[in-house]
Amino acid sequence: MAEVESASQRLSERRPLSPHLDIYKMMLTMVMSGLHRISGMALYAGTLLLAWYFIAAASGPRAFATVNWVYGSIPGRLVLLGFTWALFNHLLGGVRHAIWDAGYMFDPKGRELAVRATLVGSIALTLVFWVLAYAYR
Amino acid sequence: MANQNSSLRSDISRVRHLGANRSVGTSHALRLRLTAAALMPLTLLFVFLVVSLVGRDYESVVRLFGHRIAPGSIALLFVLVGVFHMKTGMETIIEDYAHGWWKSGLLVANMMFAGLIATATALSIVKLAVGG
Repeated sequence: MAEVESASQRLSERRPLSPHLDIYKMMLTMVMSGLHRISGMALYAGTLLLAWYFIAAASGPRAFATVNWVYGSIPGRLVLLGFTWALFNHLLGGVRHAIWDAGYMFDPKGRELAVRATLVGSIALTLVFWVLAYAYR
Repeated sequence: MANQNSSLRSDISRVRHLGANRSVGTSHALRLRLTAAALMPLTLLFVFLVVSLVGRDYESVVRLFGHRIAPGSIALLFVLVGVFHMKTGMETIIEDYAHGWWKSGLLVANMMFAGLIATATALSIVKLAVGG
């Protein structure tokens, strides 16, 4: 039994792996596909910031003053800027994947349009959000 | 094609439950997409809420959540559906890249992180809403 296992292990070591990332020419569709997952993971970590805000607000004036100061600082604002872009990129990426799930926009023109729309749309929505945030402050 | 090794098990029964997810891949994929669909309007509502929260001081935030139902409802729903979506998405990522003990450990850690974020945030929102 042990011999059979090691033989099959040797076989699996010799078996060629399917070609992956490094053999393909970099294209916008694959970059945006990767960014969808990466922005999702960034949002995962970002829920800590969301949780902190509500926990601080529920905890009292001093905790809330701290969170407000941190999020209002320049580094804080930069992180929140990245957070909003990740959110909009992931949101629009989800719409794109829903369109692809339904079987549309798979042709070269369609898929290029879809990823460009995601990129431009997410940057535009981020700008709109921050302009509104500053305007209503 | 029939089984080559004269077994009565069908081909499908021999491969079923052997995927990265072991048993619930389809319901996972569906859950991810259904929560995503729910999150589209919720995210937009939540973003409007956040815009209205920017620059508010403590008293003003407490008053907003204590006197109105909508802000707390939007925040609570967004956090709960969002955490469920994020937990499911992270499970997919873990099942893609981690194997063996790593996979089990990370899946448990993911569960705990999601549970902690959802509980702490939801409790805080409810506390604000009831005027604590």
